[in-house]
Amino acid sequence: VTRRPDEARADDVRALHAAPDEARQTLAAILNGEVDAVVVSGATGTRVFALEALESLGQRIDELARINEDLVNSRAAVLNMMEDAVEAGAALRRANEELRRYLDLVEVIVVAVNADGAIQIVNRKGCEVLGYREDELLGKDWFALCVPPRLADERRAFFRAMIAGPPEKHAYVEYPLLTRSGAERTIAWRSVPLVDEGGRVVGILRSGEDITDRRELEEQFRQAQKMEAIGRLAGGVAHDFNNVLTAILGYCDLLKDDLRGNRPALEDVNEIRTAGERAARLTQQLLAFSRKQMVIPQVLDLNTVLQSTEKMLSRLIGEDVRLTIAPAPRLGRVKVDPGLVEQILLNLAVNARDAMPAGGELTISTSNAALDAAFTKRHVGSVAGDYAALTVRDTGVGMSPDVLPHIFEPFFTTKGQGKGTGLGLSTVYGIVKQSQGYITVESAPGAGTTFTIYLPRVGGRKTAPVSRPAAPTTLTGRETILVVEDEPFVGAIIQKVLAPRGYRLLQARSAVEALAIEAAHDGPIDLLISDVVMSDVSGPDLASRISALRPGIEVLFISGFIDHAAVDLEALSRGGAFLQKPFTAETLAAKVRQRLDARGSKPAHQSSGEPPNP
Amino acid sequence: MTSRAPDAASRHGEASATGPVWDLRLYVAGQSPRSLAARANLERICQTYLAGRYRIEIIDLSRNPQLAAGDQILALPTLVRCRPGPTRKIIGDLSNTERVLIGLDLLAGPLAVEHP
Repeated sequence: VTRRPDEARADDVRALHAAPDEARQTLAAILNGEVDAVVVSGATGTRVFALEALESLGQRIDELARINEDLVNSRAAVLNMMEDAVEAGAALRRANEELRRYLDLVEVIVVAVNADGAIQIVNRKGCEVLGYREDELLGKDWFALCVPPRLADERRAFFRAMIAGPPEKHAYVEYPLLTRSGAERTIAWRSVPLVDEGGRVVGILRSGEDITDRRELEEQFRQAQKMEAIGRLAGGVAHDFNNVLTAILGYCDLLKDDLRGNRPALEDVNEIRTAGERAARLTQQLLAFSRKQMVIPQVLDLNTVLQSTEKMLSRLIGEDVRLTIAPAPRLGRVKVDPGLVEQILLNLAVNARDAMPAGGELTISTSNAALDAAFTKRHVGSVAGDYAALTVRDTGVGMSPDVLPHIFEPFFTTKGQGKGTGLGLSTVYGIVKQSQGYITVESAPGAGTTFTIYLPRVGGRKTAPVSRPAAPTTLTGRETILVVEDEPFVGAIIQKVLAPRGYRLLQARSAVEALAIEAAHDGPIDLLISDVVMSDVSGPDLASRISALRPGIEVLFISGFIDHAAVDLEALSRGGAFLQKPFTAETLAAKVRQRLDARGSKPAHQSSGEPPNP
Repeated sequence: MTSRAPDAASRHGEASATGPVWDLRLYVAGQSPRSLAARANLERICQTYLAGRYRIEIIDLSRNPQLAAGDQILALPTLVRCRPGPTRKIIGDLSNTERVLIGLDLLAGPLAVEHP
């Protein structure tokens, strides 16, 4: 049977229409359960699947899907848990970092070591003080690395006892740390045992405070106090000594007059006098140290004093030492007794010379310096402000750290027996203190020594040089003199010196007695000679009371030392009404005559209402 | 249903008495329950409506799956009317006799019955 082409086309169109119908029918049949197998064509060929099996497979697939769903769900749960854990970890890390930050913020050394002494934790301050990086410290043996070798065994034994013993809280101990540079820092340690859950000590946590600077300041303070105490003692001794020396020297002078013509005896007296003068010089130095020296401060330029002293200094230090003077331009002025500056320069130069037995260089320079809070904080007793600095540097043998704290003490000397008095540097110290200055010293064995003296700068013009009255030609007189001196032998020597020269003397042992004598005495009193320091009333007070009763009376103070708080030394000295103990008979006689003669040349206001003396 | 159906039914109705031999092909999946049901249902329907003028070929695709390709069989059992043309497919176990008769064009639909 052959079909016409148009019939075949009609069949194809029908088949085309049938295809969706067939698909629908197939689906309906499957849903109705009218078929129980399907044909599946694929790349591997055509296969028949029984629907029953497919159904169970479907169930299994459903089951698998459910399992899968569970898995997916549980995986999500696991992921959530993991996320939580990660977040918790991050939070913990953040908390740890925060704690670590705090640990590094504190200005206290924090170190934890385990039971073997190995470093487990060290904070920023610890690294800073020790001079190591953290990674250079962790795991290292604390006692081998950070404790000075001489103390390592002792500290380790202490540590072991702490590890072995019952947990004891807060053991406090001070001991030095050995830093990377080899320097030591004094640390105040507090140790806490680290205990595990079983109560066993597994390590030690220590916190340490660097108290090196504080200890140094305390040491400086103690030093300053000691110097103060020694100064007071020396001043007291010198005061009494001066009285004794006044008598010794005075009687020597009297004896010399008596022994004229007796040559051997005269020579003996001269020996006594020479010895007495030496003693007087020593006393003078002691007074300088104790800051009880009589000074006449002037506003001056240190460079001027330095230049005028240069020649003397170079003679003093000898040929082997090269002297360099380096004055700073526009140096601020200071107010100080020029004689004291000379004394400072001479003493320091002598010291420098003795430190350079084989020669070297001595450099003396001046500069303007400002001491700030940072400086005063580190230097007990210094006061912030503007200063002129005088620096004396030598290239000598230097001094060791155990000598340095003592160099300003009187009679401390490293020079051989008989070579030095031990008063040179203490004199310098006293002068500087008396001038409201400050002195520092830097020295190390073999590295020379540098002294720097800071004197406060002052405004104002240079003081005009004090004009000294001309020495009197005659040492005798007929005037009446009231002598107030609580030391009997000083009173006696004044009597012995002045009475033979024609003066009439009234003697009092105290201010009260002096006022009584003044009241009882009808005639004129031309001169009051008074000690400055007396037990009841001060010399200047007594003088002003007597001056009020007897206007025009002249005053001459004598004293071994001066309390600067009580006396306007400058005002007194301007009039030249001052005589320092010990004095010789001749100086006393000269000074007395000078005062009495000055009276006549003075303007009327001082002697108003008083008849001029013959 | 289309409006042509009554004509076709009447024509087949005439043929059913004396018409040509029907060639039918039943695709089955071995002895599966629907396959067995289909064979039984087909025998019964043929006995009833085509007695003496039908041939049935049973093709077991579980043995020869590649034979599915010729008639593009998707589900089993499926009956294919090969002759008279055009080719028709009835999918399922042939338990709904009315649908089988309609599918084979052996019976006019309800409309054809009402409008002879």
